[in-house]
Amino acid sequence: MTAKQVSDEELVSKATAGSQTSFEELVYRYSPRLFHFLRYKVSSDQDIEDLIQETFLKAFQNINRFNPDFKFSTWLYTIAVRLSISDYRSSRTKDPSFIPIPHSPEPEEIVIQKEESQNIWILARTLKTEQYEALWLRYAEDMSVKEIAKVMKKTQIYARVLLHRARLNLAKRLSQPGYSENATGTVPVKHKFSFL
Amino acid sequence: MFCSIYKWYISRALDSGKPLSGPVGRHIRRCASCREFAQFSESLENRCVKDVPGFLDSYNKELNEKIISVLTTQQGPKSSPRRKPALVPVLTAASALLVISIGIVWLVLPSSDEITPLNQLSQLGISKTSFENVLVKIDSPFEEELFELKQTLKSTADFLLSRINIEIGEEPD
Repeated sequence: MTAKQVSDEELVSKATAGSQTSFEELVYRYSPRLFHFLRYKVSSDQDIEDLIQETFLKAFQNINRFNPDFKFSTWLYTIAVRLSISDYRSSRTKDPSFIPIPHSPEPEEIVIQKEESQNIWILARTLKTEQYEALWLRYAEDMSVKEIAKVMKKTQIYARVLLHRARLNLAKRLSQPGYSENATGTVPVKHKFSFL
Repeated sequence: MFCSIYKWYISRALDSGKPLSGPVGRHIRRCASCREFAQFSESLENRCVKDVPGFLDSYNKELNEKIISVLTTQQGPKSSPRRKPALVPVLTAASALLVISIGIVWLVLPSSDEITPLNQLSQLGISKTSFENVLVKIDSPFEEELFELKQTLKSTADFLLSRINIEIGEEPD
């Protein structure tokens, strides 16, 4: 059985029993995901790296406290969000003028994005941070609204609103002239709504 | 204005997994903007899932090695912490114990501690029976009148009986 076929739950259970290799596999799986999730929350690349490192360290030290009734990804993302909040607070205390700048793309960046618009996540990067995060957790991590609300420390209604705004804004951006694809995308879809 | 409400319903249906209600469906059939939004929202999930691997490729894999080297220098997982006892059962048990203790103390305490008028009189040397007799007399000021009325009623009854002269159980002559 290859490592890819092993589920997160099995890896966590082995890591709890003391297998560092299993935990390393979890690091390989989740560090790129955490990186892209935290990318627009933290000011610099160095800070993101520190934050990811801290997240895994915390998870490694507290793996015995992980409740297997929940998904590992939910637990890991929750740790990352909490650490990013405390990191933001401490940086604000150190430097009162520090305000995380919302990601607003430069004109040339927009051109590049239009060229790269084959990938929806590159376009999603232009959304507001919270909308991007909600979208990432929903579709990249396959979390329910309840899980998203838990990770982001928001209400379920707020999580729904963030997802709705993310869809509206993405649809709006894709319908702007310059994007090669139409708003419906190129992926064949099995319709959930019977009337479509 | 109504389209924004219908679009919200479309998003909500996608997130909850429930089907759209009839009025929303009818509106989507009529409205091109809402129909386009519904189609886009539905296709978004597949598109996002498909594009994740390509997006993750831009990640610098050197960071993994850094993380793992930090983990190897660290001690292993902390030993499982002793779980704190749940607060609710402990509080319930404590309050139940308190109620039972109060009940036992209440029952065990001597009843002479209760200060009633009778207890006070007994302390003064007056027996309960004599006190009750006194009370009966005080409570019945019409005792004599009632006795006289009873006597009068009895004599009236005797008089009437002697006049009617009914002989019960005897054959008439």
